[in-house]
Amino acid sequence: MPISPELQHALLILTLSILSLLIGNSVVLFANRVSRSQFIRSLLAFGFLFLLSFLFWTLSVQFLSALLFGVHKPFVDVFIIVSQSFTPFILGFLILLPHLGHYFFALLRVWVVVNLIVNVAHAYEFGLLQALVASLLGWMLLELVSSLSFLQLDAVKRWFLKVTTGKAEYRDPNDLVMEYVRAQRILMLQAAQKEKGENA
Amino acid sequence: MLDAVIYTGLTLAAIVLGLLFVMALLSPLEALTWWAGWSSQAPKPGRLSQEALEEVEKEQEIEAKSGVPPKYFLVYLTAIGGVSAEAISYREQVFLEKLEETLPEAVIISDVFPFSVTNNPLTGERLFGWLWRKIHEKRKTVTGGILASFIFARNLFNVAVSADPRYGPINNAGVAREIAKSLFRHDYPLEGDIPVITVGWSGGGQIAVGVAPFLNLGLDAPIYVVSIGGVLTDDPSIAFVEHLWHLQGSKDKFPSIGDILFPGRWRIARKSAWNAFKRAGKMTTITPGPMFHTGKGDYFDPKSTLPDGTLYVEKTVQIIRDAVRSIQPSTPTSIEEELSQYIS
Repeated sequence: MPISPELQHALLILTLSILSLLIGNSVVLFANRVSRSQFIRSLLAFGFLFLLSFLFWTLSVQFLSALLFGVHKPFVDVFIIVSQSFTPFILGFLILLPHLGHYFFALLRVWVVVNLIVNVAHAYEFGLLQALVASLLGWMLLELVSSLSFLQLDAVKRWFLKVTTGKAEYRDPNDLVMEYVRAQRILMLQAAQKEKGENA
Repeated sequence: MLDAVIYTGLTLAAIVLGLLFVMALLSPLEALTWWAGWSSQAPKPGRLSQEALEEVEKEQEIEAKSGVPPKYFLVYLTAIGGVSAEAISYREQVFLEKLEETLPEAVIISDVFPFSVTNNPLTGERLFGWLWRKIHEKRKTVTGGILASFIFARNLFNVAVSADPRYGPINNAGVAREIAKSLFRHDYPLEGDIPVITVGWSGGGQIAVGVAPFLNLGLDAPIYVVSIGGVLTDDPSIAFVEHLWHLQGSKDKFPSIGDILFPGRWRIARKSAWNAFKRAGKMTTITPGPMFHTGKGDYFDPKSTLPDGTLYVEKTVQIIRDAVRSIQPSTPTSIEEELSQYIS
């Protein structure tokens, strides 16, 4: 099946966005002391997880537009609309910038959401309220599903990360560093106690 | 002709901006790759550094040493113009000498470069070490002076890394580790709980605050900070500082940048660590006189005098002396007591 230029364009945007966002957010990988090969595997694994969320969001836009407003569009068309909305994330690597990075990330996320609402409104010929519902209800649904503990999505995610990257959990840098310093202090005290005992 | 000049000027400006942008983007990498274990000097969990091991071995000797043990350990951290801990300005050297004379009961340490997690000078063994060496050698010339802006920029980005909640803990833990190593080289006792005072000038002020949690935990010591025209951020590490003395000359506007740039310092952020610290009365702001941030007439100027005839550098030293001497000694915790706290 030939791929249309629009779809090619959308795929390119999506790939670049995911890659850029992952690089921008890679601090968590460094903080968790991953090796070089784990770093690459983690980027791929997190990229895959991001892609799943993206697909969920795309499907939700398609489903909600059809269900609530009776307008059906093929999945590929919706995929193109949502991908194009993600264009600002191509600048995701800028999240790396110290101090400004996290403000920039917040700005990019707002930009993407606004883009999506505008693109959905334009493509579906919706009003603002309809576009808001179709775009954001899916995202809220995703948040809700993620927080439902009985679905055990977190456990699945941990299993997936363990299998693909060798690490099930990626912890906060501050906790890791504090834990390291505390452990060093204990080691030192124990060594000093041992030394004292030997000298006594 | 004019077009060509404008075109060249704009091209140069674009190149400089591009370079600064790349420098900013890559600035967290030194700390991150160090922590991740991608560099030879990476921390090794489960193992002690050579300095720490030597400290343990000589602990008995320190205890047995005759004479009055030092009451305080002061660690001086230079400003963003520095390329290494050794290559500090003449004015800073005078300041440190005077500080040593004025505070004989304290050990003054100045061998830690605050803008590197491995205490590696810019001019040391690093990828662009040769370039920093060239720039540093020529910084007294006009061209070198302009190029030296890159040293300021590089270290300024490092200050931003230190203040960033994502990178800060890693960067600051690295610098704290180097400070701890230096303290051990200077016979800092393992179970003395002797107050450590980090003294930071300009950007060194942020690092002085940033390292506090790690020094506090790693040494089990109370940490105090003296900021000399320090550009302080809203780093939550301030919660680990016992007291902060902030010196700001009436002609020094640089520290006020922090009031604008860091939301945690805004009055509206009532619950921020910064505002909580101030509310607890742990911060003292002192105006030593009409000092500038840097250069002639700054805090270390050994020639300019106040109306009463005191040299600027002497005034700065006097304030630090009074601040340090106001610190109450803490009760030492024995190794056994401390270990039992961890085990329980």
